Amino acid sequence: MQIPTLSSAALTAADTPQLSIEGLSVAHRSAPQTQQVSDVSLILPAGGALGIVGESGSGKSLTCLSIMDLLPGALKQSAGVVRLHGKPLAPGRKGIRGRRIAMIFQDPGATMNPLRRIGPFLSGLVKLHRGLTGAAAEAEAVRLLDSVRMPAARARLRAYPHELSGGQNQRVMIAGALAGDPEILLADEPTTALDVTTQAQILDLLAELRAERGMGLVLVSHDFGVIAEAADHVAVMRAGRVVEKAPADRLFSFPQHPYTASLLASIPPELGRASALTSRKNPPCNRPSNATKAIGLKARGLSRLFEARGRVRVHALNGIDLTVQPGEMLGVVGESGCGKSTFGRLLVGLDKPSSGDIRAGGKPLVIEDGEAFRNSRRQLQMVWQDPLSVLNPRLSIGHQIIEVLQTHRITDDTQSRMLELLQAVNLKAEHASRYAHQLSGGQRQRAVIARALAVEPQIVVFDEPVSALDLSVQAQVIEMIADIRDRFNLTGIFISHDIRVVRYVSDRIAVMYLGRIVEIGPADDIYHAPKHPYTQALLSAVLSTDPKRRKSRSILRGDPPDPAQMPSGCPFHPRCPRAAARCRVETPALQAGADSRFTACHAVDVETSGRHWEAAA
Amino acid sequence: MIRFIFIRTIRAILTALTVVTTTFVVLRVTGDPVQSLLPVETTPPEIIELYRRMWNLDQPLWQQYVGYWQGIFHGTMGRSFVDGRDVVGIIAERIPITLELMGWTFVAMLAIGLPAGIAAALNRGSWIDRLVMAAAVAGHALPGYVMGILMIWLFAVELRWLPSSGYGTPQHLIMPVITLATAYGAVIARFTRAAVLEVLGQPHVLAARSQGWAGHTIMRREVLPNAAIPLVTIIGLFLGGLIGGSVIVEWIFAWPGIGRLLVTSVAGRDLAIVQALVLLFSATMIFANLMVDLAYAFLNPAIRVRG
Ligand SMILES: Nc1ncnc2c1ncn2[C@@H]1O[C@H](COP(=O)(O)OP(=O)(O)OP(=O)(O)O)[C@@H](O)[C@H]1O
Ligand code: SF4
Ligand SMILES: [Mg+2]
Repeated sequence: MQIPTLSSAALTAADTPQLSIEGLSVAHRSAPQTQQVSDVSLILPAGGALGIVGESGSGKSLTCLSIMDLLPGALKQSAGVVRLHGKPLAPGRKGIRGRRIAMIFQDPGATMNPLRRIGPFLSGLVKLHRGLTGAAAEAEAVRLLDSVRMPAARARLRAYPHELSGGQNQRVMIAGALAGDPEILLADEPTTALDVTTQAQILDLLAELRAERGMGLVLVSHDFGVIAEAADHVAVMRAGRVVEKAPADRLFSFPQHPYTASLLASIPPELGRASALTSRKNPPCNRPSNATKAIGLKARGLSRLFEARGRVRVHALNGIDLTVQPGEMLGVVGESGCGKSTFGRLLVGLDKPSSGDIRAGGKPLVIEDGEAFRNSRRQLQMVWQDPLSVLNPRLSIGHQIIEVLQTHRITDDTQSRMLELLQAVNLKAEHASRYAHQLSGGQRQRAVIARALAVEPQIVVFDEPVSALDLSVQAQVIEMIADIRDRFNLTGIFISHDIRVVRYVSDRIAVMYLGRIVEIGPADDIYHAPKHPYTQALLSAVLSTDPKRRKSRSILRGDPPDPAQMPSGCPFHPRCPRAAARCRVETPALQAGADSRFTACHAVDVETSGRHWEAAA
Repeated sequence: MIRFIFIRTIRAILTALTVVTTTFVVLRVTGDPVQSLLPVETTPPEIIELYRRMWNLDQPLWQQYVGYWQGIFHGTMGRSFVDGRDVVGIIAERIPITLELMGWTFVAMLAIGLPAGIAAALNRGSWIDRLVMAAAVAGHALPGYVMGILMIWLFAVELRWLPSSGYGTPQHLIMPVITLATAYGAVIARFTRAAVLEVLGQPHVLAARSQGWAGHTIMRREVLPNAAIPLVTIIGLFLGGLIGGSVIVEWIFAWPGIGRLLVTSVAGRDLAIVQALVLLFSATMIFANLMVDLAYAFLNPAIRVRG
């Protein structure tokens, strides 16, 4: 590999930063006084990694796009200058884009032309930036795929983006970014659309590439964990301004700005479970009708088979046995496609199992039309990730709650009950007259929860209820859920891909993999001492801003599994670091261990006691 | 892909069966054609009977239905109720005349609509965009007969540049084609604009810009092929609309095609011809739909590759 010609210049002028942004402002073309980014100045030292972190709408992506002069048409750079090695960059960034500075984006599937195969995509870039054609360009394309650790690189050249997983597509995008041998890589939320385990792989890849090529990195993310993992300088943005800039170690250990400190404090692990418990001082919410006792849930041999995709059979759920105690909150975690949502839908009767049965409060859950079904639907409520899609856009929030109260004849005094419910989810009375679009994301999700509570459900399934929310809002909504669950005496299922979030609200955690529960037990035990290799990998993919926790990482190989291609034996064996011959043929059953934990793993079966994972780290 | 083609083809055939049967039923229940053709009061009953036998109207309905199917398969659709000529022959001599009109209209509407839509999308919000959109709204809103009559008045009566109606020379084509192509070109322009804008907003276009590609390369490689997928669907469906539009235009400009034949046959209650024409129109629409589906699958690797 050649050394980029300009890095020698960077070495001689070590004090000029590789990239600098001075006084950058971005404004609307039509309304120049409304600035999206105001007076941002940042520096990327040669070969360094600059992280830009902030909540949605804080202007971090616009700052990043300004470096490439790629702002959306309605916006323009109203002030400031971007310099590369001290030289201001010309508008249009001719000869810069893709050649000296390259960029990757959030949703790797959407950033690739769906009509182009991987081969022409990469060799086209090789031709554009290096003038290679034909077989030479193709060989270079393979080499690029190798350099991003893409397995079976040559065979991928004929693939279309839709045939690859999200992680693989992001590797292809990175390979494309490397085609021009750039000295700086801009990465705008490069792992946000990916699973936690894939996120860890991509971040590792970026770190390796930086080390190999001496490439500078500008990383934009809303996730402090990602920034802590990959950046050595951090800028925190809020409402278009940089509120704090510091070397990463210092920023995470001694945040100066209160905003930074509050964001750092809202990361779930640092909150810990203790604060959730102490906050439960609110009195139980009195129920207007006959107060109902919490009921439990029991699932036996629950399976769900989809045959929709052509003739492919998808085993979304594979024989789940589970008991949820009355009043218990069970957390469910796992990678995308492991069947979490399918499980949740079955539990509230929105979908029928292919086999197995569910009992709620001792009675079988009937999924038929008519009175029985309406009643069971009343007992069971579901809260989804996207509140906008479930709220009626044409009715005010209060109206919607009252409507539910009336349909189910909960109480006569619907108005005051509605206000009580709003209060229970920490909304104010004034929110009752608002429409869904007039509320923030967090408020909308509260409204959805208030409406679900209106029917006095006994069981509520929360499916990724906070995943679409900003970090600081996430923490508040989680806290609120923990609170109402006590006051309303709910039995709950809390589904999330983020084990930190799950641990915070749950009594027990069930870890799912390919439609099975591979480990289940008390939340803190699972979090601090996972036994199943998959749980261990999930936990080690959790990024922490605490440098002490960041040392031992066992990164999971391979992509999240496809339930249409079920491996033999233990479903986890193709990715398991401890897989033995037995694992390929024999499927491990959930075995009871000490302290009400169950683990489905041959390697754990033979151990007398679980290794204390965190203590070893 | 093969599976996809198979399913779509079966669906097209089922649609065709339904249409054929519905046509038969509808045309029979709207009244006895013989009675509306012949002056009932003055015609002797024997004559009426004779005509009924000639057109098999004396048979029970199911026999007529069977005969009707046999006719479709043998390409004999009966004889005109009016002049007794073979229906298939009458229609066959009109088809090329209408095809000529539609073919040119199709070319003209794409030639107007596509560039206008692309230009509007690329210059979104500018005067070009506003001009194209205003013209598109006007072109679409103006009814074909108003436009046709205005053109006849201006170019044929006042200026005497073009023949007012008829068929035969290229000059005869100009006004009917412009009338049809304005309305459909306007809609194409709007769809093209929307499709191009949609693709321009997709992240892969931004990514291509960040990779250093020139604007025209991005247009040719990212934008146009992706915008073409929805456009092909729309344009295919327009074929059906074009047939409907040609009925009016052929009537105004005395263009002796299928559309005009339909109008005269309906007016004269020439059941045999109307029935055959309805079948022909439906067959064209079903075929166009099938082609659209297949083109869509072919253009879209997510469908094509899976199989
Ligand atoms: N209606 C359906 N038809 C066919 N397959 C389906 C259907 N619903 C879900 N699946 C498949 O079942 C599997 C499990 O899906 P599920 O939605 O339960 O996953 P999940 O764990 O909730 O994932 P995520 O984290 O992405 O929400 C997936 O492979 C999915 O594609
Ligand atoms: S059973 Fe084997 S493959 Fe499965 S998790 Fe345990 S060690 Fe790994
Ligand atoms: Mg889900």
